[in-house]
Amino acid sequence: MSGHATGYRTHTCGELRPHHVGKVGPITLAGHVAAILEGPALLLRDSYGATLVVVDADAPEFVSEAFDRLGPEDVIQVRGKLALRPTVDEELATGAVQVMMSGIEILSSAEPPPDALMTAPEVPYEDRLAHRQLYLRRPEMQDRFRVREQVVFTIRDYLIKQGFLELETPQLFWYDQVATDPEPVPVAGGRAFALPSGPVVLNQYIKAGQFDRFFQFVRITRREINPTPMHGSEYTALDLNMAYADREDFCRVVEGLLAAVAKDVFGINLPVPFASKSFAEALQTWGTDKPDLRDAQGSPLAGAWVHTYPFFTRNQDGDMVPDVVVFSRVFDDDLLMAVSRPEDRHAVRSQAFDLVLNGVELASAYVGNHNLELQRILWENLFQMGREDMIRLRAPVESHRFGLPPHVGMNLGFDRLMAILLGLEGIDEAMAFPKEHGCRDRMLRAPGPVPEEAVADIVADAEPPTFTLDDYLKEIVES
Amino acid sequence: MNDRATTASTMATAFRTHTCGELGPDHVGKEVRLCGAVSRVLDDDHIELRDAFGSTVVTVTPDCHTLLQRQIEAPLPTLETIIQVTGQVVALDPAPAGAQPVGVVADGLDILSIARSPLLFDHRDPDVSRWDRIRYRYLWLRNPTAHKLFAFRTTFSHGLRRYLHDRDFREVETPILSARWSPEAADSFIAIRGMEQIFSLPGARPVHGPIQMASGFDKVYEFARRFSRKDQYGPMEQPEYTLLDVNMAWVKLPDLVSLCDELIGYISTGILELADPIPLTELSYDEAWRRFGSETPDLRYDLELVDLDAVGASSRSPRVRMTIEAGGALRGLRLRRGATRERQIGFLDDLVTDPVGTSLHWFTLGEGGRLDMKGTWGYDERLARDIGNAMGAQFGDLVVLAAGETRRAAEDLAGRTRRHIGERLSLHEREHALVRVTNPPYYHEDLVTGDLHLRGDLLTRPVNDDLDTPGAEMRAQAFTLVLDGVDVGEASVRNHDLKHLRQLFRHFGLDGMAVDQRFGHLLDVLKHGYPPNGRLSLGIDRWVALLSGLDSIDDVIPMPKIFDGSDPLVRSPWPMNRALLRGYLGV
Repeated sequence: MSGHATGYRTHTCGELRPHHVGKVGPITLAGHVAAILEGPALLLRDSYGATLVVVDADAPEFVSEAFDRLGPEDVIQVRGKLALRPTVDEELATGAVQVMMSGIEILSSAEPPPDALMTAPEVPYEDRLAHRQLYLRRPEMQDRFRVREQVVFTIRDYLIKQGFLELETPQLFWYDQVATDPEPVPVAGGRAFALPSGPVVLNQYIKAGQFDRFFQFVRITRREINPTPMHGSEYTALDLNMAYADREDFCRVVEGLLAAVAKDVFGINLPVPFASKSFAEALQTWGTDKPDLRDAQGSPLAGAWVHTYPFFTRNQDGDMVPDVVVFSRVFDDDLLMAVSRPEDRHAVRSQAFDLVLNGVELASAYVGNHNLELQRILWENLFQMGREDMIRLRAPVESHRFGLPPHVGMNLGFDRLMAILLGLEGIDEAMAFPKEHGCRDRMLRAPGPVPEEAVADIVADAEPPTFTLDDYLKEIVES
Repeated sequence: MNDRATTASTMATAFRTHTCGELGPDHVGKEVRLCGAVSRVLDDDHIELRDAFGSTVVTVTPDCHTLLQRQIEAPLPTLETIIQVTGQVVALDPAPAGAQPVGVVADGLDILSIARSPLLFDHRDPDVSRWDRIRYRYLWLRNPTAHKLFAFRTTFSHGLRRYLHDRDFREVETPILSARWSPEAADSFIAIRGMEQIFSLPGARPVHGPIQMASGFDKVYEFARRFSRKDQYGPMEQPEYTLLDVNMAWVKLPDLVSLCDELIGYISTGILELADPIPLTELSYDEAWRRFGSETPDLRYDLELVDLDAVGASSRSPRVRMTIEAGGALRGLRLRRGATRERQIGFLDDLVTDPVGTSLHWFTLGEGGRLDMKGTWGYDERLARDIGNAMGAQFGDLVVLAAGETRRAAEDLAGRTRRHIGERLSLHEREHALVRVTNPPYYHEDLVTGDLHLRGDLLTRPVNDDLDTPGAEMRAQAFTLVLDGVDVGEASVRNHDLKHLRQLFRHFGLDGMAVDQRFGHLLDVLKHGYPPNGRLSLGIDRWVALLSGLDSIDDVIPMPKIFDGSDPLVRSPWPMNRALLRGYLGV
């Protein structure tokens, strides 16, 4: 019996070896029919591998009858004796043995899969998504999720040993009538939550709650995305926060974390500390703020930090808008300069910084602002925030009320990290159930409409709220 | 930066050499730098500095007072203000009670972030109202108890992950923008992506569980966010919560039972470090109702229901006899030496709300067999004596009788009375008790009307595949795991035979169109081969709360919602523009 034995099998399709022959009793395996071969024989596949199953010459008649009915991807259970193969198949981990089938049960028949989806070296993007359940059965996909679990586990283990607590922020967040980004989640009476597009704002409350080091693996949904393979409408991020820490403290922890993953999961020595340059220096030295330093460092993985980004950028309309987390700290001298010379505010530099791995932007991080006076100057003088903006920024405003520790925060694109570690072109190959660009799920034909009767309570009239957001703002800002 | 090189603390940063929790006698004489909030003012010259790890007493020297006077025009910072202190570690003599025997004499004190005064409440006060705790979460979260709860939650989750990781389970994440809307997901939320572009958020049993199993995975888990849309939430419910979902291919019910047993053993001895596993009792669904009057019985105490139908049916009391003859039932509870504790039990009449047609009566047995009967009786003394005899009642006992027009209604009333008495009298004989309630029906009986409603997971395989069995008698290959009377997990074997599954849907009265609407998108995915499989899920918030001795999951969630599902912290949900909303929904 193996550690994977269940009510349906004594072994998996990936574990039998010559040393098992003669040592084990009758074998029961369960899996999908991967191929029907001459012999008559079949290749049986599960998550762990594939095993050759040969119809035993002495098998009862029902076995060959059932065999004749088999089609690809049928789900079956087979019984028989384990034997050595006459010729070893070197391609297969179980290639030295075969099961001499004397019993078979068809557990669930399968409609035939589209041609070549299971075996072709390249499957078109649309087919990979539309038939995800079939594509995921491929051995290389199964293996990716084994690695992904190890990476997640290594990261958690590392962080918890470094004193981090796991704190999960809500997905039902405030609905903002002005913002176009979040997806509204309507409830009874025409009111709505919205998905938060990330935990950065919610983290402010936890920071003010004086947790020292905290993290979460968090699902992030985004409406507006760049249509590149490294972006997705829903992805997983590793969110990290440290109080009473500066950028260097933070960078050492992240480097240690990535080095542990590289070493423990991939056996690679990741060169640390990473190269670190300001945005201006990076452009000067590397010609980019996303340098790929693998060749320079002779390592299959190479990281870099780019810090001191400009706070503002010009949008399409030519207006100055913040280019980084709006409550990230700016350099004090820059702030004072900009107060006296507002026309030069484009020169204000923020304490935001990025992590780059193998030339891909992996995470954006920032040193937070714990001083309300400086924050106010930033918001009022530089950002020229009005009442509406203040309402939208009520978490960072309110979290200052009873003291806010100095802190550093980062949001690391975990699917991106996996894509880089596994050498994949896009994050969809590192995820189990990605959506295509435009947020469509081809396999489940989603999103879709909703019948009127299902949303009757949502569109029903409700009592208007007894207070306004202005009242709320008064409470949190002017108290 | 030099501080970092000279200290052994792994928590040292540019802001501090040590945390407030780690200084001890070994550090006396050392120069240290600490950060934290001013958590108490002890006297004119002493404050308590608190961070996430502990507290340290800081002596504010005259120089520091002068400095503060200049900075903030006060000799000491306001409570909760964040400061950084540099100074020497000194032994405190006498050592303050319950605090570390060392303190720091500050020769430098910097204000990092000022807390406005007054504070709304003392976050250490255990009586802070639920509203204030949630509305001003950033203040309440500071209390050391909250920090301990989240530390335990982290340990608990990581322990479960370690167990699964060591046994070759893989973590496979499933989407939050889960599927198209279907009646099967009607109890969850919808998210609007665009005009008539609606996703449902995953409820307790999202489609991706079976889909993972159709995708070639063998043993997978996910700590997943799940959603539940209701008008009111009980103390053990939230609109969003965390579920550990385990899906395994090629398993039968005994495989899930052993996984469940091993997990409980691991939680007890591996995570909680108890000497023995939390005791586990297995009851069938029908037995749980029969003996404890609940599908989620609390077995921390032993009190059992007694079936008194035979006594009632042969009684002369017309009301009781007729109730039973009409298909009703009579159930009793005998509380040893309960006669003197009646006052503690309090008013029982409130328990008889709906279902209608139920009644509750009780009597005590006094000296010389004297009966003291309560409530408006349809029972005569002779019946009461018969009942007392049938239950073996003795001097000093309290007997409670629950009658109902259906068996389930009587059991339910007796079960709620059992729970009420158990809690009021603290009958608990065990700190924790687990029950595995097996083989639930597919139908739920309405306690008021007695009508049967289809509920539960129709994708679950029945115990008996025979389609001649009436639907109401069919039992599922599934179990619920109950901890201290609260549902904390469930497991089921899914029906991998899609032909049989379709027949079963028909058997349950779902026509082709209803099946298409509810399951069509899922069945299309499963049709290319669907292995036998099962699932086990654990409600992480509930486990953490119950094991921490809490009666609500609020305090183990960083930012929970209140009972009506709204969030007073960020003022949500908020009205949407009506025309926009209707446009999105296409109605």
